[in-house]
Parts: sequence; C-alpha cells; structure tokens
Amino acid sequence: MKPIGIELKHLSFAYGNSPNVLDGISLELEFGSSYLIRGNTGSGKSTLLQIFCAMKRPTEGDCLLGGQPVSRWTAPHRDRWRGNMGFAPQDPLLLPHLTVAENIMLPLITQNLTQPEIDTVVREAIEELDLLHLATQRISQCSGGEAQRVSLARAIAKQPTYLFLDEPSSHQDDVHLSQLLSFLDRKKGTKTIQVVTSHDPRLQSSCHFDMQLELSAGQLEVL
Amino acid sequence: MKDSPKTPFFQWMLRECFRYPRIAWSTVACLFILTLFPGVILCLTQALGTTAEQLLARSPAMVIRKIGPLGWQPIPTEYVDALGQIPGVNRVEPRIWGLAHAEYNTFTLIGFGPSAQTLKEAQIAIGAGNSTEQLDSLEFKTVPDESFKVVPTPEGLHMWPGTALVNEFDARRILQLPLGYVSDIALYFFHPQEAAYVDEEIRALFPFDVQLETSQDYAKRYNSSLFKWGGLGLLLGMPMLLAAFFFFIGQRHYLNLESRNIGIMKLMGWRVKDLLWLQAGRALLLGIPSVSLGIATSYFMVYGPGSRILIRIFMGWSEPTPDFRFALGLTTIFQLVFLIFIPYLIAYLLPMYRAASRDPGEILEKQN
Repeated sequence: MKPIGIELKHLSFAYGNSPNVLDGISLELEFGSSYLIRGNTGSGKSTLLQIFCAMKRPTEGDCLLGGQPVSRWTAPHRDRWRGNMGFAPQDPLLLPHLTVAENIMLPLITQNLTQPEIDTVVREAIEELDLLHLATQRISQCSGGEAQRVSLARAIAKQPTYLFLDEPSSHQDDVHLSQLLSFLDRKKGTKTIQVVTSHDPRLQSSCHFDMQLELSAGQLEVL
Repeated sequence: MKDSPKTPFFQWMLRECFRYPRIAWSTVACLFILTLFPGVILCLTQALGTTAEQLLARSPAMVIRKIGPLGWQPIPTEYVDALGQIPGVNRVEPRIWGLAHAEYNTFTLIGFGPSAQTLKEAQIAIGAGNSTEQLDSLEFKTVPDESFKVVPTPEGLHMWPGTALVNEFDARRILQLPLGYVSDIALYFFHPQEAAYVDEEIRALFPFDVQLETSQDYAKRYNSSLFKWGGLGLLLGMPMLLAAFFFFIGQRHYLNLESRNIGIMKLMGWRVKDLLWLQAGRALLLGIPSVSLGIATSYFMVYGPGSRILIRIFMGWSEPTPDFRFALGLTTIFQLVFLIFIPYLIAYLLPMYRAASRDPGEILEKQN
C-alpha cells in the first residue's frame, strides 16, 4: 500500500451563503499516483485545487496535506506548503514584465539551488514544452496557449512533491498535449502526487492517469 | 560565490532593481539630494568646529584690549612686565595688528612675532587663497600711498586668507601705532583654564577700562553659532521624515500596483521573508550608493573648492574663509545615516511587509 499524501475528510466548501460546491467529500490520494478529476464547468474542480494549494479553507470537514489539517494552518504554514507544491492555474498567472525563462525560473529562485542547476531545470522544461523559441520573449508577446504552457512549465520545473494542474489542455493542440503528458510521465515518481482537473475528453482517454474521478453535484466519484 | 545557492537570488535582486529604470534612477536622485542638503550643513558645522578647535589650541589663553568711547584703542606696553608676574602666566605677547585698506582688498595686517622680524622694510607676505596672492606688489591706502613688494610666506608659517604680514616698523606706520603702544596684549598660561581666575588681578593693573577675552569665551561664542547651524542641519531632519513619508506612500502605491505579482510570487512558493529580502536588497542596492554619494559630495563641497561659496551662503562671511583641514566626522556620518537611511528603509520595507503578509488567494481574488 502506498503512503497517503492528501486526505479529504467530509470536506465541504461553499461561497458565502450559496449551496455547497463541494459537499462532504472523503478521499485519499496516494504518493506515486496521478489523478484526473473530471467534471463540467462550475462543478468545483478549481475550488478543490485551490483548497489543495491552501488558497481556500474548507467550510466544513478538513483536508490533510502531508498529514497536516489545512484548517489549522497559519500563514507561515501555508507559505511553507506552497514551497513544496507546483500549481498551474487555469488563468496562467504569469508576470508580464518577465521573459518566458524568467517566469519559469521564478519559483526556483528561493529553492536553494545554484544557478547552473536552475538553468538545467529551466532548459529541460522549455525544451519539453516547445518553448525554446520563446525563451527570451516577454509574456506579453505570447499567445494564450503559449502562456499556458509557460505556466505548466513553471509548475513542473520546480519538481514539486505535489503537482496541481487546472485545465492544462484548454488551449493546447494534440501535439502539445501529448508533449505535456509525456513530460508529466517522466516527472512521476514514488514520492510525488499529480492532480489534474479537466473536462477535456482528450485527457479522459489518456492512459497517463492512475485514477480518474468525477466531480458532480459536490460529490467526488471514483470511475 | 558563482555556484552558491544565494547567487540566483542576488542576481534576481539586481535585475529587479533596474527592472523599472525610471523608478530606480528617480529613487537614486531623490536620496542623493535628500542626503546632500543636511550633509553640507552638518559637514560645514563639523569642519568649522574642528578648525576652530585646532586654532584655539594654538591661540593665546587671554587677550587684553583697551576700551575707549570710540571702541578699541592702542594699549600702552608699560604693563607687559607686570602682566608677566601674574601667577600662571607663561608668556606675554604685545601684538601689533589691525585692518588696513589696500588697492584690491582689506587686509588684517600683522606686524608682530618672529616671522614678522624676518621681513625687510616694504616687504609683505600675503595669506594663501586670496585673490591678490598672485600679485608682485601691493599698495596700501595711506597718506601718501605705500607700495610693498610681495614676498613668499615665511617658512613654517600658516597664514589665513585675508591676512598680510609686514615688519613691526611698517605695521606701526600703516596702522598709525606710536612706539610704546600695541593693538592688544596676548597672555599665554601654563594651563589655559587658569585664565578664567585672574580676571580681577589683571583689571587692577590698569588705570583704564580693559576688555578681557579668554579663548574659552571665544570658543563658547563660536560654538553657539555652530550649534545654530548644526541645529538647522538636524532640523532638516523634519523634511527628511516628510520625504520618507512620501517615499512610504509612493512605495505603497507601487506595491498596490504590484500586488498581483506579489500574489503570484507567493503562490509560487516565495515566503514573506524572501519578499522582504528582495525588497531590502533593492533598497540597499539603490540606497547605499545614493547616500554614500550624497555624503561624499557634501564632504567635497565643504572641503573642496566650493567651501568659500558655502560659507558665504550659510555663514554670511565674505572674507576671510578658513582653510579647512579634512576630518572624517563619524558623528556626522551617523547623523546622516540615521536621518536619511533609516526612514528610507522603513518606508521601503513596511509597505512590502504589509503586501507580502496577505494571502495570495486573497490578493488574486481582489485582482479578479
């Protein structure tokens, strides 16, 4: 049996007084596995990832990240957690005044790596996701799909223990999607967890994921 | 250093510093000017104080002048021997000096001391730094006008600008001092502090009113004027604090614009301390050269060729101007660093601390 990296305990979340987006979900996600969370737009996939990223707190129940309950975390705990995870949100959230390479480098600067180590990791991510020709360009000069690949490269290059990708295929053609999946394959290890959310049928048919889950009406169902 | 894990952060910090060159250069310019103004006043005060200290150490402990209805009058030399008998007095020096009008300038004409004795008749040595120092001859407005040959300053003698040295005979003639009279009498004591305790004894020697001025009286008067200017320099600290406040507002506004980027950086794993180090690095990289340059320029303006203009502006002295000897005043530097650098650092770091302490989810949600 693999060790558990993320544990949801009757987790619920609601925006203000609205009905629960996530409604009493209980689930265990294991290290060394990759998960695809499917669901329609507005089903709560992004919200769940934001809870994993300690950007939101559950309104009821709890989420144990690395064995620690998120609901009890203080700001320094959350900061430390983000140091261990990689996150590519749906909106790429890139720094427009930086180049593609600098954006990918951003999370690595505080990781106690030397410059040659950073350069190697950034070069690999750039090559794997077909961004080599854009490396020195500013983000403002990139297309939506390119910006999204930069965001994905930034999350993966960090080689995090926990990797969360929100709708990574939304602006990608088949070639780039297949490049992404093979890159994810290579980065999969026994001490990592990959969680990807998508409503893209191309990803649902991929054999990269160890488990697929469907999020619907606030409930998460293993498929 | 090249392969140290700290290098990427430092390089990033350097890049960030000049990411917005206009903001960086305006910060440098602001800090430079903010340092320069109080810097000049504090350095000038320090330079005047140090110079005065050096001069007072060599000056007589007491000077005796005769006072008449029209002011100072020549004082008879017949009391010199009696003054020498007063306990504690080491040396008595009758001095011949006074203001004399020459063709280009008014000089403090000096006609006493061993150096004056080395000059021949109609020879004159002029203090350095004066506009007339290149002259070959100098004419004094006497009746009839008298012309003097300018000779080099006697060896080992330091003359202030605006002073001129002639022999005793010439000085008496130009200043119209008859034999047996001098301009004033200087007393040197074994211990200069003793000068303050023989006041009554000295007055009793003279049948007329005399003015006694000790070097301590002079130092007090001088220091009070220096304190006034030093105080002004420190008062400039108030506008500096105001400037720091505007820096703070500016930084807060800038970081509000940058809050999305700060949120993204935090989401990517940057911690509050990383962001604070980045900001502190930026502040130091821009601040240290600017403040250092401001301090160096202040010193250059005070000890360099600009000092005469500064003294005219701040002290209202036309001539003579002192020849400052360079002294690195640590107190002055400390005052400047305290006045400028600390408020600047706080103004730079506090808004970043506030921005960085917020949760990235909250920041990014607000942006959306």
